[in-house]
Amino acid sequence: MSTPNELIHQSMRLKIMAALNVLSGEAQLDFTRLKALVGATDGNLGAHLETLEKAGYVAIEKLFVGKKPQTRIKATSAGRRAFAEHVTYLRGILNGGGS
Amino acid sequence: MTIDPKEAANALGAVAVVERRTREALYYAGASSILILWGVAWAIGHAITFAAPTLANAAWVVINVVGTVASLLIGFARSRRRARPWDWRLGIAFVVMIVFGMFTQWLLGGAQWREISVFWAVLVMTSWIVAGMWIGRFFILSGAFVVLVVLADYAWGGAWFNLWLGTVGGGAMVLGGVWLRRVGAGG
Repeated sequence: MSTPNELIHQSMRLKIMAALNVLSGEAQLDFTRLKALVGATDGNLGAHLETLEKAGYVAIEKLFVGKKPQTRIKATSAGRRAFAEHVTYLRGILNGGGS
Repeated sequence: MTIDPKEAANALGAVAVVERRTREALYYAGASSILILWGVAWAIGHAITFAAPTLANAAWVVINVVGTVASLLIGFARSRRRARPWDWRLGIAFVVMIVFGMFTQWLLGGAQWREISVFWAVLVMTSWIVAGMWIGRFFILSGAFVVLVVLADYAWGGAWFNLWLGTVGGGAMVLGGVWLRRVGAGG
């Protein structure tokens, strides 16, 4: 059985990874859209993204579209793997695998 | 770290909700382009039908072929943003609907232009509503709204039938598409 991932298990980070994992490999979500999908505030989302980026689970790209700054985020392959393993672990608990 | 079954169930529930919302946002972004495309195509087609009825048949053949090919290409391109691959059954379902419409139109060959217009609009929007049962409620609401617009036009449009259908029906589709672009996960 896989092991829990404490970093991903935090509820907001779990939601962030769930949203990014739906996208295909190179696709990105912009910060504003991700914020709406996971129901976060600017500061809260920024802090959790920083934690996930430090762990190598997400890649953040900051760019200008015209004169407007835009932040785009995608899950890395390590992040997708970690998320999948944690979800498998959670399902294992429900299937009677214990914690 | 210890996670009990209740906490695990809550976490998986939250994951499922966010996954559904994200898929919905991706579908909305793709559908916005298709809705705007058909809104403009509808407006052009009905404007031609109103102003130059003799050109209507040829114009609609071109509009329907270009629109169908463009819709399939947009659907394919947008599906590349989702982790799940493009489901060819969606494209096939779309083609089956078009073939069904053509067959029915041929079978009821005596129908007038107004009835044919209403039939096609209701057929396409019914498929849109059915898709909404899987994709998201906006599809159901917007499809039902356009069907109501078409039926109201059929009942009370009179000589302005095509102009009404082009401006109100086409305009509603374009506005719906613009709104979908705002709420969808584009880029």
